Amino acid sequence: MKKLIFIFVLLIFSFSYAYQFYGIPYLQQVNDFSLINQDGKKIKFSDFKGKYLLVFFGYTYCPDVCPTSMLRISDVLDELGDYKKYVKVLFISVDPERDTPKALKKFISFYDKTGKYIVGLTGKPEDIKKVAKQFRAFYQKVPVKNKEVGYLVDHSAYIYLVDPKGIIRMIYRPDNDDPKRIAEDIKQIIKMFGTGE
Amino acid sequence: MKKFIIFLLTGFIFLAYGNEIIIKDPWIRAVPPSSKNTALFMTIVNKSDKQDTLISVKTDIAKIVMIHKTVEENGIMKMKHVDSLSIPPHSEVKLKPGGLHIMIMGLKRPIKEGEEVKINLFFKNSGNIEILAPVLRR
Ligand SMILES: [Cu+2]
Repeated sequence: MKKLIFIFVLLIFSFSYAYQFYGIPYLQQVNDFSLINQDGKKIKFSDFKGKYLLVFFGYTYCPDVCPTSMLRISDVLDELGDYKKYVKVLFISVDPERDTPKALKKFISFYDKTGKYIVGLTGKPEDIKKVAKQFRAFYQKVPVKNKEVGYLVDHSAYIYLVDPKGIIRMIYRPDNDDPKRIAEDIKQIIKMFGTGE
Repeated sequence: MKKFIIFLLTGFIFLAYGNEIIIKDPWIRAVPPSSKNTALFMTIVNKSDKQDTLISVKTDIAKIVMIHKTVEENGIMKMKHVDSLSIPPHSEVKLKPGGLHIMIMGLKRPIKEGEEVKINLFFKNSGNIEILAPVLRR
């Protein structure tokens, strides 16, 4: 296994001479987990095997960072053109108390009118915690004085690119905000590793 | 005497317009109807010789409006409350996504893309400036 990873890293590096990746190359297998989707159905991470995934942690009440990231992701989807069909987006809630499947459905349909590409995931707080840990995503409730607003959630805002085998390949920081270049990375990776089909 | 009054009046007009604050390209981010929070962005231009300060912001569409700054700390995006915002003379301050913004919390109703929202900005010197900010998806 170690040998394989070594060869793999070598492969990425040799390719990067020809193509300069915009994101930060990464290599980590994600263990299977299950959460609840926007239709209230239990869904497993492994159900998405065979697709390239863009994973983002956020919450529907989020005023600045999440809308910025989701708009960027929806621009990436547009930029992907013919490659769009190999990609799905997972929006994983870090505010499961307020993010019911219904709230998630409204939220994701705003960024994906077709309903085909973006999946919203929520679940029990402890399940979300475990998932976030795998991605090394952080989040923390921040109380707001006004009772009706209740709280905001500080959270990490990376976009993770996961390959069809469930391995994180690339990470995008909030300042990697050029959708064209993210889409170009995805196209290059699909060319390198196949469509997953 | 008449001339003197006119002179005085123009003086007052100059005083009133002396603290010239201009709000450029204001916009409110369109958010999903389930969302209770959004943000206002704009560029505040101070054309006067004196520093001015944005002290507070009000709108009818939300319960709370605050001046915020999004900052990144070790990959975590945090929003910090800013008490007031100084606009130095002959300069501009940009409020944009991922940085300074006017945080609009507890929306009383969903906002629609394309609608214009009335916002009141209160400045220390220039007083109340009323603007219409379009709701945009960007
Ligand atoms: Cu804010």
